[in-house]
Amino acid sequence: MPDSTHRPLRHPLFVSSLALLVVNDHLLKGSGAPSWLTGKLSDFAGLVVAPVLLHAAWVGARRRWEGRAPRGEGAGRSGTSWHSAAIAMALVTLGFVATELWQPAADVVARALGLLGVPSRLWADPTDLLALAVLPVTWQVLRGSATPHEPASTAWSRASSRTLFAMGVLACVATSPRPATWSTSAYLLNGTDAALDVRLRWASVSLSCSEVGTRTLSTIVAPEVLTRGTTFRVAPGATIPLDDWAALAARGEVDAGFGAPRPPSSFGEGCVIGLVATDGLPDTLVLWPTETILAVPTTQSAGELPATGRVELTSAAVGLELSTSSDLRAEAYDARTMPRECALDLEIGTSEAASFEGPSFEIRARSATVDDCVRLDFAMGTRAVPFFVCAPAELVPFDVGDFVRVDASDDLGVHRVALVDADHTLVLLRVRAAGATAGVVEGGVTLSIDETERCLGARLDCGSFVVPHEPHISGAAPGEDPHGIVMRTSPMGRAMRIQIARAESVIAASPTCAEGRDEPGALLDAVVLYE
Amino acid sequence: MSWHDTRTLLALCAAASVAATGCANSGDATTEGRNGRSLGVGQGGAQDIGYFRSIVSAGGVPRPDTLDPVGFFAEHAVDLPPADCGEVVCVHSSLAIAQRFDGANWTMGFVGLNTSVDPASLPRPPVHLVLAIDTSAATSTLRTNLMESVRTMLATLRPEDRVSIVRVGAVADRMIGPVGPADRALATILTSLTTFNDDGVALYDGLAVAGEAALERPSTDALSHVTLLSSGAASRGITSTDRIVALAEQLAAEGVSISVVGGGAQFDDRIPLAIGEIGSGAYYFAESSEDLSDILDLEGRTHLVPIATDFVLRVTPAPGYHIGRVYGARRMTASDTEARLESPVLLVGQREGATDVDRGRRGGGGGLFIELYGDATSSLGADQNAFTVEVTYTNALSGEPVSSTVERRNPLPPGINPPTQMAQLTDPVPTRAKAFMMLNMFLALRAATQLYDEEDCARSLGVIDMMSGSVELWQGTEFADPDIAADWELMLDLRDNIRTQCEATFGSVTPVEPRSFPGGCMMS
Repeated sequence: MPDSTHRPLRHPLFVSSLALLVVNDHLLKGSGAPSWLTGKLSDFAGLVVAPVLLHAAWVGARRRWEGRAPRGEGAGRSGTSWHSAAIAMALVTLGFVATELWQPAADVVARALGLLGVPSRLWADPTDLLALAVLPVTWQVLRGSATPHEPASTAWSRASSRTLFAMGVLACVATSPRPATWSTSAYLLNGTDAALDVRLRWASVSLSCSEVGTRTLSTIVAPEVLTRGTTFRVAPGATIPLDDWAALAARGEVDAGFGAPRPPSSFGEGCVIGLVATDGLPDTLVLWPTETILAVPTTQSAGELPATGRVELTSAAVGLELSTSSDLRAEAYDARTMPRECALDLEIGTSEAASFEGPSFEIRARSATVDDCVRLDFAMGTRAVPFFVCAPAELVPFDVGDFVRVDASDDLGVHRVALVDADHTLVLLRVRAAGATAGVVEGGVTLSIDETERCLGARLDCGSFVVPHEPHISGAAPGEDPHGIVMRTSPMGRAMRIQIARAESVIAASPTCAEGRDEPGALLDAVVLYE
Repeated sequence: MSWHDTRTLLALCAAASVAATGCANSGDATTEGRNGRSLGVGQGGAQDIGYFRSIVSAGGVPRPDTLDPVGFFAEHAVDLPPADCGEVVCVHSSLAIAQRFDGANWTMGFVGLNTSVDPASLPRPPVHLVLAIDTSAATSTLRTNLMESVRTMLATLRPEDRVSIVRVGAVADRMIGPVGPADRALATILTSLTTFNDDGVALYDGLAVAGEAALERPSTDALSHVTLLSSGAASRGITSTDRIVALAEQLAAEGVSISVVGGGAQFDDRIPLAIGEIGSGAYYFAESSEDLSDILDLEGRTHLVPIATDFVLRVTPAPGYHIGRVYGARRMTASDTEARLESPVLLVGQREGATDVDRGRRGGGGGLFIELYGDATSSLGADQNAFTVEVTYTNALSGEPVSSTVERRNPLPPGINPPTQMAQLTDPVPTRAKAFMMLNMFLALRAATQLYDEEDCARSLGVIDMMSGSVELWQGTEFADPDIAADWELMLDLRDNIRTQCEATFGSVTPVEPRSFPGGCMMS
């Protein structure tokens, strides 16, 4: 082993980094230390150890190839060492950056390691690039090989270099990409005495967690919103993370892997519904809160498992049983097409207002459509272009010969379309708000969603789950029907005819649903006619 | 087999995709999402079973939602008893009881509908055909040869028919119509529609304009039909699927049939499928302008005649049973105590000329399957009622309200398996009993793709292996059937692909039989 070339192997910083790598991988991981910390320590130490090892291996191999044993370093060699040191550092750095930024690169590295007999799953995590800060230290260590002032090579120094080199290689190979703890808000424990293949899927809906309450989860989750899944072979006493991003990361499949790209998804803020399936157990939906990230040992024996966020599979007289900690809910999944518990109100709306904004259009014709919307044919030169208004026909006052202007605006969660002629202003409002209720003040009148639910709700074909609520219009006289058209007077003295056409709470929102039902929260559609 | 041989089949809901199966593209499809990866999955959606098959042919493993049950069933020739009930709609039911693979009980009801109305015997009234064309960039590849595609379609119409064309962009605009199919101005309009804009798609407006146009009938007895070419996008104006489907339902109730031709880049099948599920027309998927030509040719030659309106079908389990899963109609809802299907209209198709359906498949296997859970501890004995089917509708030809009820008895007590491994069939005529084997093949294909989708390679392979004994025995009896043989070939190809893909990623895989497979074991 060349002495000067491998002097970095005996550098105190290298030895310290190597020791840190070993301690981190074999003592800290699994001890309950946060996985983010052990991961970062691995990266910091690895960025010192790996370039030095690569450099040593490269120089050693080159010299063997050249058939020359080292005789101590002269000044003429220093340039070569500088180059090899720089190359080694650049290669490791580039590889590190690529794998942290680009999952396919991580996959290539994982596969290469697999070919070398080191089965690995790596996942890109840009936050790991923080470890690049250690590179000046690495360079300081490597510079030792380029220093012209070399002591004589001794048997001791050669032996120690070889030993440290071997230890470094072993430490790198033995570094496991599998964390000793999962960072997840919920986990599953195999409490049986046999290995289980557990399949996980997640409902790709954003949940209004406070509104999920005690509702039947099967009612909320349509089969169509369940994501692609992943399968874990879970040993007895082992755990797996239930958060989708953590589970997919553990499988090395964030944004790559088995089939089409599958980025991790954060479906909800606050809670998630997942599906657990395994032989001997009915497919089971589990609802868990996601506010707290737990450090969960990967096995029961590796540390104390958190008392919360826990799903456990145990053997039963027939098949398996699933139990949860009290902060979670689980129920067998009934995937049948659920009958709608009550009719939902259709949205109000118009043709694309932006296509008609600006000038006033003369109405050439007015007619009713088969679904009770109103069609106004606007004159555009010699042509008549239809403009549809889906609102109660009695609130659409415009007729042939009227000139109508279309205005639209979006402000603070309120989408407003106004049709204006000389005598009337027709306003269509859509109000969205987080939580169970929403309201808006129009013409001095407050239009809002009452907390009272009209029925158990309905699961939409697009995947959202919606519960209709009672509407509320301020200033109601006794006996007034809030579902019908009500009369009010604006502060400016104009007569107002108002109808709340839709008042509902979106409990589970699928992004594939139309605007309004694609986000959790309250949704209110109202029509106001100023006369 | 010609179209007229299938005349007794109702275009029940999306079973109208019988036509789609016959002409949707069955060539090799590009498998999206592969991008050179070793493990590929096809794009999801309901492009029909032809698309599923093309992915398998290309060595891929389709997404489970690519396997559309209605499209799959429609590929199978399943006979029903003669439509001799004396009404325009006849209801038939049967029951199969078998042992599941895990030894539990599998009780499956089947409900099929046919009609005594021979569409060939009905006069062919004039038709007002409205072509509504999504002119967004997404459909531009389909419209490269639009004029020629439509010309073929127009050639199938008669002089007394009428044609209108609606452009569906950010606004909707009736470009022409109603005019005669030979009107020269049509060519000019169609040429102008080969361009595209990227201002979005006002699908509600387009359908509303097309529907209103279709209602301008050349005579009181005329048929109104809309053929909607759609990318599936509804990005401008009223975008709610519920609103758009409600409009389509109202149009159907007014006698306007609507066929949807979906396709184009980034095709979104949700709204086209939802409209197709109303049952007032066919649903097609076109991958190319050549496909579009074939589809429009078929559309021009097919005329859908309403025979029933306000159709409601209810299946109620007898005491001792409750309803489980249902298959065969996407709009069917189910609870423990009722399965229900409503449709604004039922149609039969008249078609000029004859055509064979895809790859020698005879087609026509639409039907409803209702899983029943029997309570083996109940005191009910054998040969008691298991479920009741009740249908109500208005005869569209006479205007008379009709209701009928059919009961189906179980020769065994609830929840009890047959004494032998052979399934107990209440209607053992092979071409009818085949419906249950068809369902099993579907369930196995779906389970295999689902388990693959969940990366459970062992069980994905295992579920196909589980089926081999059943299929081989079935095919070795008087029940042997070419459609089931074709299904099995497809399943074996799928198994090969699953194995290849899984082993490339995970190494050697040993199949494991899943215990939660929802199918039954017909013969093993």
